Amino acid sequence: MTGPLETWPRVIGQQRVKRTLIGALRSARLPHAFLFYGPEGVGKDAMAFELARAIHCVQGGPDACGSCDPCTRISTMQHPDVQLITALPLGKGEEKGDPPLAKLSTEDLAAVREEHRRKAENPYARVSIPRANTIKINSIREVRRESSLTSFDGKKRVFIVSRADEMGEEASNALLKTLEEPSGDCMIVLTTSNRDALLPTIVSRCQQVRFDPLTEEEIQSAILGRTPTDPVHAALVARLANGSFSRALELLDSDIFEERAFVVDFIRNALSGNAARIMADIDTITSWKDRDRVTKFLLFVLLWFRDALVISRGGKVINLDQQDDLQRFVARNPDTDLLRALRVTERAISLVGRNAYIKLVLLYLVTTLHGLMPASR
Amino acid sequence: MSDYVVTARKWRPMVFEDVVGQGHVTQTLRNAIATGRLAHAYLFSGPRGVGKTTTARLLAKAVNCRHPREANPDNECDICREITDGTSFDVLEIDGASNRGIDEIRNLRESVRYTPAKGRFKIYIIDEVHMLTRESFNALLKTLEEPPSHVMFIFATTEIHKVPQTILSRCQRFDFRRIAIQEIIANLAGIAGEEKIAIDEESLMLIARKGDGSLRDAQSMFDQVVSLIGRAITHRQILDALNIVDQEVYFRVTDYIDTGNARGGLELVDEIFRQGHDVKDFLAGLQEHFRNLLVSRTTGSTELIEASDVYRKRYAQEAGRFTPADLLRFQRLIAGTESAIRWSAQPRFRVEADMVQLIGLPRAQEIGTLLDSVEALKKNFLGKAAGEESAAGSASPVQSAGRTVMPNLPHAAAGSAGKVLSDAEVRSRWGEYLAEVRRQRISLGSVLESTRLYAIRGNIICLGCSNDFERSAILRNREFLSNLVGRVFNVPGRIEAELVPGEETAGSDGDASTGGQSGPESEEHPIIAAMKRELGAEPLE
Repeated sequence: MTGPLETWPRVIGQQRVKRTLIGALRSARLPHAFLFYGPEGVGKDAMAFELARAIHCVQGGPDACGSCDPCTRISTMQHPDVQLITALPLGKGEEKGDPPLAKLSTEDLAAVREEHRRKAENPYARVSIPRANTIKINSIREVRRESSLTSFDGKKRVFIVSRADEMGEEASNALLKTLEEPSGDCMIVLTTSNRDALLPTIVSRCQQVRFDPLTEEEIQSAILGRTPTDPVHAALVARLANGSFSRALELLDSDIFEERAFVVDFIRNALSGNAARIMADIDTITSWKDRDRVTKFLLFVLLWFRDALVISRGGKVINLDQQDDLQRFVARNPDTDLLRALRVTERAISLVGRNAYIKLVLLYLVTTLHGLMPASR
Repeated sequence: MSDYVVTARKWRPMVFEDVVGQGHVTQTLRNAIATGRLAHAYLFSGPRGVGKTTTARLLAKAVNCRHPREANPDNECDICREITDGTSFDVLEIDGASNRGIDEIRNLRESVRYTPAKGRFKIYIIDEVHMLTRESFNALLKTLEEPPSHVMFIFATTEIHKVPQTILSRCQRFDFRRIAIQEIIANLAGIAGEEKIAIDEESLMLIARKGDGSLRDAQSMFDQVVSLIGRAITHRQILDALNIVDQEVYFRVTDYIDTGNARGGLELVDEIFRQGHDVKDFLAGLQEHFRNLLVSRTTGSTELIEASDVYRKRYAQEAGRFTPADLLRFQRLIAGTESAIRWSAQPRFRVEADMVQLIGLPRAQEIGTLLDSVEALKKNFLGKAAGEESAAGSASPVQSAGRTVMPNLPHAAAGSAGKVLSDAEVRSRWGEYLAEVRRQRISLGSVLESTRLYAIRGNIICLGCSNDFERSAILRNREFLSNLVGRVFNVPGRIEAELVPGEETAGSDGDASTGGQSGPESEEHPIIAAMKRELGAEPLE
């Protein structure tokens, strides 16, 4: 078994991308700037770390052993030639030209270190550093400074700019020259799930590599390979994850049955117009005080309407285990209204994302839904 | 492994002739160099990857070169080589984005005073000049207006609108153009020849089109293709490697629209996502497809269509399937999808929903044919009206598409069976019938409950549906439902379904209270009602 499936096993799926990168490694045609783009959680950062290991591994690649000194150093974020650039909080009194970490408080610094270490260990995990919203221009200046230095072991220095779309306009522009013609022997890998948010001048300087959503089978076997899970449960999670392994990891951590039961309840109450229950639901949701969680909840609502639409046309549903409920639901709700329900829910999600008052958004959602579907009562 | 240099850097032009597609700039500059009429400040603007920085460096070399040849640098003298390597003291290339502050500009102003070390000019190339702060621009103004005679400024930017007017008016400005596809192809073909890479013209065309007017983008794409496929490249491989959506897919979409196959549409969307196509590419391609059909239909020729001959023929054949009005509506719908998925939480769901809508969109009717059919209906109706009870006729089921004809309600069939369903009996025992249906097929029962008993004529029971979904569900199960009529009422009968938009059409007293459209005032949401009652709220819209 030495087929292409065996290479870079730490990265799930993405055979086409692996072939491209390994081809480039073999023929020594590695560009100095890569842009990895594709949906959230499909392994862009994981691939970037693996590429860094393949470059620095003592065995000389294209496969990285994962156990030699450089490989372990990369996996623990201790390799001087492999750097991770992410959004960071702004330090107190930080001025331009300061090293990005210099003015951070001790707690912030510890959080950054811990999150980066976690990311290197499991690149599918999401980095969440408190108060870190943008990639600072000082971080980019540091890249420029460091890119001209010679490397520790004589190989390419690798800079991984994760979620490059979090660079502000200044930071992006500051990267342009380095990205086009870095002064030293280095490689900059930008990763993003939102390529449109990058400056066209950035995109045009990189060799672009597209990442595809993972297949359900890939996610399922990755779940089973990592933690002992019930295969049926793994299959459901794999389908709900919608091609993203990061999402699958999150779903594994939560009670998907209870969450979705609440969603179905919420929709039923909204349609029936039972004011007392609706207000109770809305109170529950606002009491989470967690915008991300509300968004995730609304995404499940969206998913339900989507499935209802699809099942009425004989398509494949995502809520595998709820097909009977869905059938009953569509028998009662004419589908022209489903299209509108989808629109309304989408709008609610975008409003929540734009910091609207959550209680009002939910009220808007339930009243509009109620108005849409008089047939359901 | 580090001696590989990407194409865009490796093949950066060394003489003015090699700059692709900017003849209007390079020729002017060469004339200026040859006649010694050099400005002291130039501003190069234009989209990404079309040659601004390249031209700036060439200009710097050409004016300082020891042995210029016809206003070109010789690239051999020590000055040229230093500039190429970026080690010259006389040519300072400054990254405007990283050195945008007032302090950097003040330093620059100080250094302007010193004479060049070797060449004639001391040249400042400021790239991404639009990123300078307002103060920095202002600090530059005086120097820019009257610099020492040994100084030349060259600014380059992709965003000319961010450069203040006061700067613009002090510079000689050159606008760089997007590069034509043919010129990109020629450039790539030349590089492929030098690097011994075998690639056919059609593949180069694909790459050049993806470059969208930028040579650097096209060259990056070219590098990517080479590292993916190797040194012998065919058209088929490129389609796979760049994951370009096959033209066939778009013809499938129009087929599905024509046949109303929503399921097919959903499967197609699933395919697009599973094969990892960029959904934006797909939508853009679909737009182009509609546009091609529209062009072919309205101009009657396929001259304006950018496609191979095989597909041109198909566009000519298929043009008749849709009216221009339909095609324009398709385009509008997909344009909405394109802009919505930019911020959509789940682009896939949005594309699916819009695909279902696209396929279910009622067709527009030419006003002429519509008038004709109204006339025909009128005649038909006036002719028959005398012989029929008017109840059914007056509530003529109108459907926006105008495709459905009035249901044929044969009276002849009634006599043959001997017994006829009595209107009163059916209405009074309708609940029983519904219960029976629900007992056997629960989902169908729910559908039936939301329809109305629309008319009973002879032994035909006609149900009024408020939408197409209900109607097709009933028609699919017509046989089962008709048999059940026989069993419940002991008289053989038939079930028919008809679309009846609106609420109070026929005077039937059907049990279900289906409002066809969601009339906003028909029934108010309890919360809103309470708000009005308790707080005296008024709706804003």
